[in-house]
Amino acid sequence: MKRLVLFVVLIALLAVGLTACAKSTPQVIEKTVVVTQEVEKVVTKEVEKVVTKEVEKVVTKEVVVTPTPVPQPAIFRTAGGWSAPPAYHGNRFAPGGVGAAWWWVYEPLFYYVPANGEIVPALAASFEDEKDHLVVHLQPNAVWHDGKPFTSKDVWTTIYLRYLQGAPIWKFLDRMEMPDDHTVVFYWKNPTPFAKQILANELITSPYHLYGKWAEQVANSMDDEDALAKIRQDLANFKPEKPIGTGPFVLDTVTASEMILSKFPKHYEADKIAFDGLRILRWSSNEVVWAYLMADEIDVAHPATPKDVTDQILARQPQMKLSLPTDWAEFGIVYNWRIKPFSDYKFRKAMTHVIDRKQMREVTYYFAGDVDDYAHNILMSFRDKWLSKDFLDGLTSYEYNPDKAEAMLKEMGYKRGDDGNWVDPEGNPLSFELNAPAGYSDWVIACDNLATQLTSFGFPTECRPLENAVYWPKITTGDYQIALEWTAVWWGYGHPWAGFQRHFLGDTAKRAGIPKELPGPDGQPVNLEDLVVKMGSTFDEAEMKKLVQEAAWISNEHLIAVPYLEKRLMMFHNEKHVTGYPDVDDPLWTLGGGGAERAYIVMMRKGMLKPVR
Amino acid sequence: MAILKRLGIALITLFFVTTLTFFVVRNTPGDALQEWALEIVQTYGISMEDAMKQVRAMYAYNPDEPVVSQYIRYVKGLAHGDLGTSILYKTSVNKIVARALPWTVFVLSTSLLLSFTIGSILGMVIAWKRKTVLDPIITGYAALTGATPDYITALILLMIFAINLKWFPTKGAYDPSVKPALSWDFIKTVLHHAVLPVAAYTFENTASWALAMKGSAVSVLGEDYIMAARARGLKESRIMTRYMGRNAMLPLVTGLAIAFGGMMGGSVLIETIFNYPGIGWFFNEAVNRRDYGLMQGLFFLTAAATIFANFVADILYTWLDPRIRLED
Amino acid sequence: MTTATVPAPRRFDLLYQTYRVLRRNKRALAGFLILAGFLLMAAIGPYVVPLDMTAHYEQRYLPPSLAHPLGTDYVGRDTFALIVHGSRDVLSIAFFAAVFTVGIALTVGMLSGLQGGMLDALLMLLTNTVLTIPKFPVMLVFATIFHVKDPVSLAIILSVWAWGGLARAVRSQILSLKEREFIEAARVMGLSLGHIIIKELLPNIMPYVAINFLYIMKDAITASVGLMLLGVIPFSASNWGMMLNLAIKQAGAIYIPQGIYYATAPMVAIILFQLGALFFAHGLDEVLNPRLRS
Repeated sequence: MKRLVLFVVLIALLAVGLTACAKSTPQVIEKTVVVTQEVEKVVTKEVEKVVTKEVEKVVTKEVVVTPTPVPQPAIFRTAGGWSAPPAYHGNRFAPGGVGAAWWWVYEPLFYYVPANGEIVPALAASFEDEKDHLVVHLQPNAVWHDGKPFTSKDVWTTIYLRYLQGAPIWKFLDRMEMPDDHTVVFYWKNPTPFAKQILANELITSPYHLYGKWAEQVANSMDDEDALAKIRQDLANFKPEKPIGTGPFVLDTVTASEMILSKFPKHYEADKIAFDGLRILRWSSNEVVWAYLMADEIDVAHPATPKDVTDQILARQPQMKLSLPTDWAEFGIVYNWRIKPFSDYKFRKAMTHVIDRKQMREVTYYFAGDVDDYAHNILMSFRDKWLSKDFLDGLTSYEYNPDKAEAMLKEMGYKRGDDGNWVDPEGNPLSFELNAPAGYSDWVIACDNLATQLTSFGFPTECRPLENAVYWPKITTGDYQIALEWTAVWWGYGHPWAGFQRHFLGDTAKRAGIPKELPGPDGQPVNLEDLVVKMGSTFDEAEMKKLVQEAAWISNEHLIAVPYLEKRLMMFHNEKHVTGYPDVDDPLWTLGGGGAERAYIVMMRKGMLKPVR
Repeated sequence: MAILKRLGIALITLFFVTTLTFFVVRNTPGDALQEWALEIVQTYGISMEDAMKQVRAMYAYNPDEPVVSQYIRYVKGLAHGDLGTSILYKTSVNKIVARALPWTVFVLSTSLLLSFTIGSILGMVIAWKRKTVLDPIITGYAALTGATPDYITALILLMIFAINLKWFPTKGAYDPSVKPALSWDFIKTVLHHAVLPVAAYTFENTASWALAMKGSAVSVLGEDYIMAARARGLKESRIMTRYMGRNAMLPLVTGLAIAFGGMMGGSVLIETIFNYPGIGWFFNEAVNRRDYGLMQGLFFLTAAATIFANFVADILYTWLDPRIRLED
Repeated sequence: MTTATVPAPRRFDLLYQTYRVLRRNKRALAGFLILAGFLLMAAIGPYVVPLDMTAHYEQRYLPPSLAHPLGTDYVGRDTFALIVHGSRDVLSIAFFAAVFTVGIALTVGMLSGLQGGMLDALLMLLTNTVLTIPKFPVMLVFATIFHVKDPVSLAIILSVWAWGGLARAVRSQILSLKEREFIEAARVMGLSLGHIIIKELLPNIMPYVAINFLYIMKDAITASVGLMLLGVIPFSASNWGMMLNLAIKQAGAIYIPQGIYYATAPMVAIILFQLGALFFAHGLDEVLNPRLRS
């Protein structure tokens, strides 16, 4: 027994001893240091006393001689997620593909900056936008990572494969024509004002020489569901080791904890990219990413961070900056219209006055954006672009005012019982259950905070989080009382139409349980589907604004969902090793919402980001 | 003969558990697609509609095949050593396990053996010498590690040794610039990266083994043969280990067997904090994404490992304490 | 003439022995006092200490003071009040979960070990099933069926999972013990099975069971957090385990110097509770095993 123990301990010590000899990562280039010492003798005399003292002071001067340092490769370090090997591969059409390398190895025809509509050309050197078709002139010198030239056939392949996934572009696309190797023409069957946004979201990922055969099959069976399902299956079994793209970086190595990319020297904008490579660390959890940021292990990351931890990070890394672009959605509260008392819209109004939404934001996600006192479903960051001050003044306001709520409730016949809690006009005591997805810790805290607020007002409310995969279907079927939900969701389009699509027809509508028609500003019932369809097909700016305002009025008046904060992406960027970031308020940062890396790659391609030497 | 009977029972148990698991897994409530789509919209900047269509296209679970025939196919595969196929990744679960499990086993079995050994010895010592100052220290240490979630211990170790002192790396199983091979460089970097995870795990678990050993040893202490051994003038340490320790080990062996079986579930702690590869990530993914194929294969792995470990433990009982006869 | 009288067997012999051990063994006494303190906290604490759950963001992470003996949490609530109000649920869940778990484990383990044969095989099949069946999917199913609030129901749900390991360990010890001479002797003397179990077997395995009792209690606190995040029980910001979870994950309290009080308060509560129980158990060893008394 003792011998066994001794053996184990020896092994352990040996292991530790050996590892001490192993080099730590990253490797550090050694510098030679030459030290010369000088000794100085200093004699001091004390004036008052007769005795003099000799004091020897030794001064050591270090002269450091460093040879010209070997230039270290300029590496941009960030954090991201991907499927661990062996599940990882390079086919975006199958689960486990590409991961965090997406924005670095692939590029779209052009990037679209939502804040100001700026177009940053990428694979499309230029284009002409006619209403019913769009002519794209491709980069003449673009090359795939495996050396093959980039041609219009590759665009065709990608878009046709995307047909298998029901890509939004196919709702509008009639046909594509490739007059030559570097020109593509998109012909629209239904012209859409969102053509540029849709195209900007389509990264050209699939070259003809690798994926062509499946695209041909799709083109031949566009209406045959069974054939398409087979092609989908077949395509999903294609597992190249790494993604092949046209982008400025090439993926070299993937492990379960790191991705290493290097600059693609043949990229047509390679001269503007000032970095030799990228290092992406595995984003295992927010706490670990905070540690990485504080320890200067990464240059950029975007974890949702409480105020005090943010202060710590900024204190530990004095050159760290924080940019807060919108992340294209708001967090909100839905009431279940199917059940009493929420079916009564007057009750919903009274209830909303009880909620201190600023407190919810402060407590759960400090750096998120505040919302106003309304529920118009227009993303706060762009509210003033769509809703004038006069219009807002004409809306019913739902400011935090418990006294007003009290008066409204009393007027409806609700009373306070002996214990101080509310009782409905029939005499039934009211108590609620509030649900939230357990996987989002900030939503869980919001749930707790809201439950506390309602309870202290006199509606005893219990917060019950549910596992995410259980939560979303459950509230979609209407099996809840009050729940937390995404609102003003503008993902993918950056336009109010997307938000109203979801609010009136999509997930939020189903969750709240709203009817097909709701009374409009003039009191007449408005068919919500018609409204949304009209909004999505009009090119007239004035008409668009009118429709948006009508939709905003309806959302606000009927309280389909009550927002409590605007999600902001907390883009930490450390200027210690990388310089050239634009000012934190620059519209370029809005590229980060929905893909933080997109902002950084555009900044790199514009030649803005450079390593600190 | 008795061993064969035991093995037979173990196999029957495994079969029973596998069948039960199969049906439990298929009936797990919830729909993973929404959550997956939400993740996609926030990383790829596309619309929710687009994302939902993509995940539906990628998640090709065909429930049209009757459950019973799925079950039969699954069991047939198991008999051939095939753990099944991941619905999501369309890879054989065997392949995933072969790549990810070795890291988990490496780190966890090292930690388990270390913590068990050190803990048992400490436990024996404090049971034997009842008035030693070591007892309150160990008890305090046990209470401390018991109350601290292992998460925090790991984070603290990461902050101090990897981030501040830079003695050890902050992530990964090995330096990615070293190609995996049976070379000295590779072994060195693997060991270097393993120190912190092993230390965290060992630190967290040693005390509980110590206390378990103490509890078990205390009941043995009252036995006559201990008194007799003392009277015979045997060396204290010999009595402590050979007589008390060996008899007290009995219930701990069960715990060790169960821990070895549980190892197959991976360690979320190590994989998250130290960004270490392992099977735990796949467990999590499988459950969150409701990848039934992967879930089944992985659950089978843990069940088989636990049942097998218990089987081995049963055999060990007779070796540890010859008086035990495993009747059938 | 002197008469040697055999002292009459004392009723409540166990209690009397415990009292004597407590008087002598300082550590056991300390443990007992700590446990009594917690019991007091759980019983009357919530009536004495008021809990204000409203958020005061600007008062977050305050250091300990007269107004807030343990400081405040991430939204400015008094940490001490949270601990006191949480103690009732936390300690009841822990205690009952341990009681039920140990009860089931002892029953199964003893039956299995003593009887052997078919019963042993069947019970071990049951035990192995409980040990190996994947908890998460089953818990999710539970969450859709059961919505519980009271600690006792929750304790039952928790103990359903927890008894397997201990049952096997008890069985292994029984297998060893039942071959001993003193058991043979008791059988030969015609003592009833009940007597053998209670007077001979139980005291021998009690120290091991006692340690496990404590660990089950601690595990129950952690497990209750998992159940909260599955929807089996409602969210409670005063549950010590949840406080710890929030402190680390949401508030990042270990990264913030001023967050140290909020992060360590629930830990210290759990540590103290465990210490009390462990020290008391140390004394319990002596009560059950007279040979250990010096």
